[in-house]
Amino acid sequence: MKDKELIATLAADLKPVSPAAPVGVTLLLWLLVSSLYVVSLTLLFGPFRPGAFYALVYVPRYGFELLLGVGAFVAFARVALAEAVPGIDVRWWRRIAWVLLAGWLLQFLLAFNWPMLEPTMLGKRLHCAWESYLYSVPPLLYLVRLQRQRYPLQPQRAVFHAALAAGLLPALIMQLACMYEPSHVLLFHVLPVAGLGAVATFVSWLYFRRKGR
Amino acid sequence: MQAQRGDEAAYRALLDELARAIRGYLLGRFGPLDSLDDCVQESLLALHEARHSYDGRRPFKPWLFAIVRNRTIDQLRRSTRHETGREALEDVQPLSEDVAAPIDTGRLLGSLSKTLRDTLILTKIMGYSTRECADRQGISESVVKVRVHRGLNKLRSLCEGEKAIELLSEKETG
Repeated sequence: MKDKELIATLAADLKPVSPAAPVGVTLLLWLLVSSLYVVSLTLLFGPFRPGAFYALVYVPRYGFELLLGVGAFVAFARVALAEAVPGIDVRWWRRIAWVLLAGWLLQFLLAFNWPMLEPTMLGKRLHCAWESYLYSVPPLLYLVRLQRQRYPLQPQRAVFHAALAAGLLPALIMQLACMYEPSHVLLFHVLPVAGLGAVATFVSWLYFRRKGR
Repeated sequence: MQAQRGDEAAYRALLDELARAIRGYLLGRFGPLDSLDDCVQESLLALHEARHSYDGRRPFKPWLFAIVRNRTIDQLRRSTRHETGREALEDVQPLSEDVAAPIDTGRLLGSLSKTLRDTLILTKIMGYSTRECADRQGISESVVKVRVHRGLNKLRSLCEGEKAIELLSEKETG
């Protein structure tokens, strides 16, 4: 088939298409819907840790730690959506996201030697690891759906970043809702993020391999 | 933007212009490739599939060339695999008679993926229109067109492979 024939075929009966919404708007929508969903679900199965909001305001390091986490979460969501639009350069956003994530994790490692809050069992949730893991699945599916409405050129990488963003959300909420102790946070709130990233990447690899793309 | 609104004439003019631009870009970047035509056509198909993802407030060129680069790399990878397969064919030991049997359309179709096969059967064998085929499969007309193009391309390369086998077997026997 020559170029001309192909062009004629593609142009024949051309249907109008709705341009995808700008990345910023979609990002806000996803952040809002997913945050509301995870907060509501978390509250449904137990209250926030008593004193968590007080610490957020009066313990600057705790507030800073959460700020780094929220920054990483927003940056990964931005990267995941921007990667679905050809031609948007996401290299800087990707670097920022990883630096913020590393900074967030570093706070927990530092907290082993220099605790920012007195470790407490207050607010302990019995299944926080499963909650962290399962609450992130619907936001992930929604984000992947938003990506598929665009045209991701590196779909597996886009899914991986989407999984990190979706996984970070419940992990951050658990910082306020569950007990505070660095090893508990790393093991039961942060590890599910890595798990979700690995599972989502594997599933997307299988899917795109089957699709031959 | 006119193309997104469904203006056929503007879209045809745009694709004509883009086909030339893509060809020039690929020639400049990769030199005269064997699969240049395939790369241009794959890029045009990808642009067609991705036309909704273009945001009019952003520059057009980065969007265009991101897709073209991506598709060309995919196409070149496929060509390399095809070439490797062809080289491997040349090392094949004496062929049995049945391998050189006439090309069997059913067998060739059978080697396509289910989605491509079904679309080709509906449009090229059963004579459904693009619209009817799209309705039947629950997909858009664009996807039907893309699948037909890909299916035909794949069949063409399979036929070339069959011919290569025939030539090799003729060489062996003659």
